[in-house]
This record gives sequence, structure tokens and C-alpha cells, in this order.
Amino acid sequence: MTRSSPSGAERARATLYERAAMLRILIVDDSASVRIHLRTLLAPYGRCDEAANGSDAVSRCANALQEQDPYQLIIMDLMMPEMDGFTAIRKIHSLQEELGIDEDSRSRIIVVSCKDDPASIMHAHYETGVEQYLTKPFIKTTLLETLDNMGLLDSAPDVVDE
Amino acid sequence: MRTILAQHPDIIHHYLKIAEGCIFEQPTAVSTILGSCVSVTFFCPRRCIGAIFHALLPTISRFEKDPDAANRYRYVDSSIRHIFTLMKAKNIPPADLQIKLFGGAGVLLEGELSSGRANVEVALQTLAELNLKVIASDVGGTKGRRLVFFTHTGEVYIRRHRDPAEKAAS
Repeated sequence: MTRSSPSGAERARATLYERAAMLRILIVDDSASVRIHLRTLLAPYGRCDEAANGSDAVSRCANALQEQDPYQLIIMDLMMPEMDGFTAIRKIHSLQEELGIDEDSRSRIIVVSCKDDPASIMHAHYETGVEQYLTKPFIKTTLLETLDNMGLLDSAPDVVDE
Repeated sequence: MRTILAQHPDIIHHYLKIAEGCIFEQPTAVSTILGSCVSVTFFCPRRCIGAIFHALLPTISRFEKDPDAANRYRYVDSSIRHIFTLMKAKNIPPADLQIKLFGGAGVLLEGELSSGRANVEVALQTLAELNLKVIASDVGGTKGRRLVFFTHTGEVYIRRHRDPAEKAAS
């Protein structure tokens, strides 16, 4: 039996995988088990690095920018030792601003936190400028749905004209 | 977005207008377009029942002299409380509900007169008062959102508008 040429769906899947595989992802959480869980979920979609606190995350982002291989996606916890997630996000935004990186080209950030009170969620969205916030414990489908909604998994553009 | 809908040809499609809300027991793809308005999706995985509203303004008491006679789905707080009551009437406890929150952008689309931030703040406060935990939120920013909610799976797909100024003027 001869193998036929790839179907449209197979080609679309391959394109999707190639695009997703190019993502550079930073997972920031002080819990090693959460980092391992996130790495397992996200490994098929990109190259994952880990940071155990906000300070480490900022250093890794600075190095990545210097190497001209920035993180496209950062998964950020909020409550961490040394430097919390909100401070880290502000510092990462500042680093990118200093380099003149426009807003649309900056690292995309998802907050993943056990803080589910209105004040924390409001602060993330309207003071820190993060549009995506997930509360722990999260499920895999919600995380992947969020990546899709950010235009990171879909081969289609993440905007509509209609 | 058309592709997402095309993947589900067998289910009902419903376009949700501003100040509308509904609970769905049949599999339905509900789409809507949000600027500063807010939608909250409610999903019970055990019963595969979903609900959603599209509200324009934060609090009913601030705008209506007779809240009982008003359209509850025009306001964020009364929409949440009404859907909570509908779910309760179907014996769905709050702990069984997965809640997601969308919209609240700093952009006004046609027909909107609202403040995105105030809408989101009231949504979060009202949900907290009812012990409804938000599992995911995609709010704020400066771009409008086109949303599709699958009421039988709880999935929500979002695409952002390209240019807020262009869209606001349309």
C-alpha cells in the first residue's frame, strides 16, 4: 500500500507544530512540582526554561534579550520569595521598553496563581497590563485554550478584521 | 473564528447581543463581540450546561430606579446574580461551576457607553460575594474581542480585533 501525500489537515498540523516549536517559554514558579507539571504540558509547544523566583526570571529575560533570543511566552506565578511576580513583570516590561521593543513584540505573559481574590486579578489586568490570568489549580485544557486565544498555537493570525 | 464554528456544524449557533444572556442545556456555540462590555461564562462539567451574558454597565442600582422592572442582562452585577439563581434552580451548586471572565477593554465598540475597568471590577466582586471562583480571565487591553463559547464543553475561543480605533469607528 502506497502512502498518499499529506492531507490538508496533516499539513496544517505540521505547520502548527513548526510554529509552536519555535516558541521560547519561561516558567516562573517557586514550586518545583508546579514547574515540572507546566514543563510537561508545554514541552510539545516550545523550548522551556525555568526560574524559581521573580529575580531569577528577570535575569533570564535580560540574558535572553542580550542573546537576541527572547522569550515569547512567560508563565508567571505571583507569590514567590526574593521577588514577587508583579515586580518581576514590571521589570521585564521595563527591560523591553529600554530596548525600544514595541508592545506587540514583547513577551506574552500568563499569570498562573493561587491568588483568586478580586484585588489581585484587577491589579494584574489593569496595573500590570497582563491580559491572561489563570487560577490554580488549573487544568490542561484551560492552559492550552489560553495559548490558542493568545494566537500562540493557531496558525491563523490572532486578530480579526470582520 | 469561522474555522472554529465550521468544526462544529451539528450544533446550534447563537449570536449574543448587548444586554442579552441565557442558560443553554442543548449544545450551542454562542458568539459575541466585546469591547469594554463584559461576558462571564458559567459551565457545569457534570451536567454539560452552560450560561453566558453580555453586559454593558457595572451596577443595576446606579442606573435603574426600579431594578425589578429593568433588563437584568444590561448590568454586570444583576446578570451574574440572575444566572446564579437560574443555575441554583437547576440544582447546580456554585462549587460545580467553572467561571471565565472576558472583555473590559479600554475601547468602546458601537453601542457601548461603558467603562471596561469598572465592569470587570464589579464582575469580580459580585462573583466573589457568591463564592464563584474565576478559573480564567482574559480582560483589559485596548483591542476588542470576538468570542465563541461552547456551552456543552465550557471552551471559549477569543480573537482580537486588529485596530481598536478602526473598529470603534465602524
